[in-house]
Amino acid sequence: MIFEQLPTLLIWINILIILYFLYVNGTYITLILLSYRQVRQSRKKENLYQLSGLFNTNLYRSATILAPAYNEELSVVASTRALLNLDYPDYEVIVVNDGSKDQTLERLIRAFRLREVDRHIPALIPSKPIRRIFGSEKYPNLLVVDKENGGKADALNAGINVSRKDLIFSVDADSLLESDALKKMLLAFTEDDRTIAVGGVVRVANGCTFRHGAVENVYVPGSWLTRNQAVEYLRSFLFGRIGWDYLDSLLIISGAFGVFDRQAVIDVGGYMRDTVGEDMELVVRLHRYHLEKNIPYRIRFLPEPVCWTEIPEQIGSLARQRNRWQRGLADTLYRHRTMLLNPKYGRLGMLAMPFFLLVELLSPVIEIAGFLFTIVAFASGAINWTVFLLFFAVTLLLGSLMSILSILLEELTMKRYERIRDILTLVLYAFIENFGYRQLHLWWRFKGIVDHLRGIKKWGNMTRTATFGGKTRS
Amino acid sequence: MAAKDILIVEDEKMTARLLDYRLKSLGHSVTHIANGVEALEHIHKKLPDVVILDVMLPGMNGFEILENLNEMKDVDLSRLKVIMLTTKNRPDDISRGFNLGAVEYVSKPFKMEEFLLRLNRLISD
Amino acid sequence: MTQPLHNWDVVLLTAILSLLIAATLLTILVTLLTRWRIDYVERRKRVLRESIGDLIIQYTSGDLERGEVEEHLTEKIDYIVLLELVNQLEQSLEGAERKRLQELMEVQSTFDHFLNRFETGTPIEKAKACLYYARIRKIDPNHLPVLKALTRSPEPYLCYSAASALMVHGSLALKRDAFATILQNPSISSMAVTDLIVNFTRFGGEYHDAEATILTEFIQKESISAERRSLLIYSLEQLGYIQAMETLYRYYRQLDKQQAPPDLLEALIRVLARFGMAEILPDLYRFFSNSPHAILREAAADAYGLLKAPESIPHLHWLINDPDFHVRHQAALSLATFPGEDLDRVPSLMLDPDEWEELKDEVQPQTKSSP
Repeated sequence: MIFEQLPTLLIWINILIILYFLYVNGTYITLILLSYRQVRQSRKKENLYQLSGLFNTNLYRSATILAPAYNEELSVVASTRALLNLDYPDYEVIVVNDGSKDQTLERLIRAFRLREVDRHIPALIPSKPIRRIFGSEKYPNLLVVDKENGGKADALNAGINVSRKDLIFSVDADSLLESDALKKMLLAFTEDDRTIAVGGVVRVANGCTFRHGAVENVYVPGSWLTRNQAVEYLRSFLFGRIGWDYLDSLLIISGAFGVFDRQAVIDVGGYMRDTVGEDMELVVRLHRYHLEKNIPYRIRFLPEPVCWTEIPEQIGSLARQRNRWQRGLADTLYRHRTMLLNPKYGRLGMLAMPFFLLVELLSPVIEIAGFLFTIVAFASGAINWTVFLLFFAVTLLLGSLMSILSILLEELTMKRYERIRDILTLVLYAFIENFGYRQLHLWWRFKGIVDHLRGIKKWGNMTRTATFGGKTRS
Repeated sequence: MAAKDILIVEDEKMTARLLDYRLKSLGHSVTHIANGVEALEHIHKKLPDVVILDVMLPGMNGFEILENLNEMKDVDLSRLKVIMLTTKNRPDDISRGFNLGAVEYVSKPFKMEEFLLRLNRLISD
Repeated sequence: MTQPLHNWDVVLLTAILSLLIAATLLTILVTLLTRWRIDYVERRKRVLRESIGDLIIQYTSGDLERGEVEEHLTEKIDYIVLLELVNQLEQSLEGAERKRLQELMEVQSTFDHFLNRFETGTPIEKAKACLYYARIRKIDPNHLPVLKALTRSPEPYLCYSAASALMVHGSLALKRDAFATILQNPSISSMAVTDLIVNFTRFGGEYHDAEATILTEFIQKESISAERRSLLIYSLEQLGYIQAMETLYRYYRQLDKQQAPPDLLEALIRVLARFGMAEILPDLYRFFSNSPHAILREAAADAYGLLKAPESIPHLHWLINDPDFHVRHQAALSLATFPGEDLDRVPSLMLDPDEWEELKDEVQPQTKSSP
């Protein structure tokens, strides 16, 4: 009897799969369209602030740029130098040497003529012990913190303790900030006092030319792997995020480019150490803390400030990166699972988190399952070639359309790609992405989920860490 | 008065263009570069007579440029006249610049007339 | 059973597919067209920007007369670009050139452009027009009441812009009213408020007595939030309005020290101490060395350092052992500024000895180098 029911069952499952695709793509298209509105508005406003005297007062909020470094002797001096010359009145750079085993610290000491200084550090957020602190007479706004190894989150927390400025700017070692990036990020804090965190755009540096620390020409990168990523960055990391910002439910701020109100980060206990996706986890925790305590706040994403970053050129590094991101996502969503579909957490809990769970996290599982079901259905004769091919074509085109819409929006709003042939390349890759890259990506993410689940099994009952630390934690 | 070869190192475009225009109309030959590293390259290739150097530059700032100039063997800072463009109310910047070999400074905002007077005085020495 | 379903499937999917193909082709087409159009527009904009820049430079240098400039500016020109470039240049110049830049901004066609936007534009356009008004020397007095009404707009940037214009052109009474409206509007950010304070005082009379009086009046108005009022108090200090200190002190005296908002008290303590009002010391000893609020203990420590009364020293010793890091730090800093005080002789009963060593090291060389 079951075998009689099987074809109908399979057909219904296929319908569910179609509905899922509609949900995914419909949401993405909505986000993309909303982000268009958002960018237009923000452009007009930016002009306004330039004209007004707002930037002429000496009331900038001071900022600390935190650059954690571990075994980066080759690039640390150059990246630090780049950070010391940004266009911003009151800021300092704190490089945190996270117990490097190579010459990272020694090179810094030589290059910047560092001397040990006395500075009393409050333990506002617990971190591994700080051994020494260095300052430089030649570069008065540079501090180097030498501490025991504890990981990136730990290094960031130590840096936050050392900092005495209003804002914390977290950057990655292999990213290049545009010189007015900091000023532009400040716009969100200027506009609205309640702002506690702001994310900016991360763009693909590969293929572009740089001169004297600034981007000169914006070109599409050269390889199959990087071109696919370029399209992806436009779709998910640019317009996806602007869209969520419009809906006031931004879940992720990239660790490569985020500005936070220092006190807000201290209030929620700093970065979490035993997680892989510490940047996303912090943002979700910031939302949660302020929503639970009913403190008015805003977390924004701005399309204007730009940070250029090197994306992986090798398949191996890309696979590892996406695996890590997926594990981080799974971990964060699990830790904050009480927020899911909980009206207490507003649009974040009702719209953004379910989307991230069902789509960003679980889509590999659902898509692979869907694929298998389709094959079974096909093999058992429940559906025929025509339907199968049509369905395949629809999903293909829908996905490509979203990418192409993102490219169009990029043209209308950011206009960074200079050559028409680059636009055409991107359009082409919007289609090509579906043949190979997408599947690989699905597989890496699937593995990420599996690895995450295995990780939990390995460590059994992990101690439940307190959600919010704050100053009361000793 | 002899026509001089002047290099303006300033990232604010309008200010640079204005200086460029006025100096050219006085008969001097003027180059304008917005970026410190490029400016050093230019000086290395062809030594100008006067350098108008903005202290606040993105990338390498004015003081770093002066330091580099001090280290360059073929540059004689007593002959290459450097005028600093500083921000008001920063006396430390001024003494720092002089210590590094600059011979004159003008703080922003400045009066064009005054700037030209100081420049002339420098050149005719 | 399955056959009819197939037909439905096929029809539906084919329809969707055709729609998608059409949408995709359309999007690609629009993308390419946009690119061409944008290239064209960008090039024109660049040329325009260059020519406006040239115009500004020539006029500023005296090589163009006003009449000639007016001719050029009647072409379709981007006034925002004009303002932006004039803005940039204005920051570097003073004297004769600056005057000429100012004249350039007031050229008839520019003025007419913004007048039009002021009267009929969208809120953002109106705001830009208001900011333009804040930059020029004279406006139509009939617009003053309009500006006043705009300070009550639901859009915060429009309120701010209209208020900026009033700070330049309004009578003292108008400025006062605009200021009061802004102070009571919570959606305007602190930076914007501080900016307005600066503008409020910049265009005032010689001794700024009227402005100081108005500011102190607002400080005492309970309908304005404590946070805003603190901002005003700090601004009084920044602006150096000594004449306001008496009034400020009297206000401080009649406040209930245990009930008043801590933000407000903190600002009062710090600013009064900076102006040397040692009269506040008895209150500090009585209420604030032991206040339940860390920010007030910290402010007291700061004040003791500024006022340098010998009786404060035991209080500083006490505060060095405070449970809050920032209070300890400030107390050590203040103590180190007392001539002859040796930090090594301070009883540090509650402190971790390592921490105390670190704190002393940090604080002492700092104050040894200061005059």
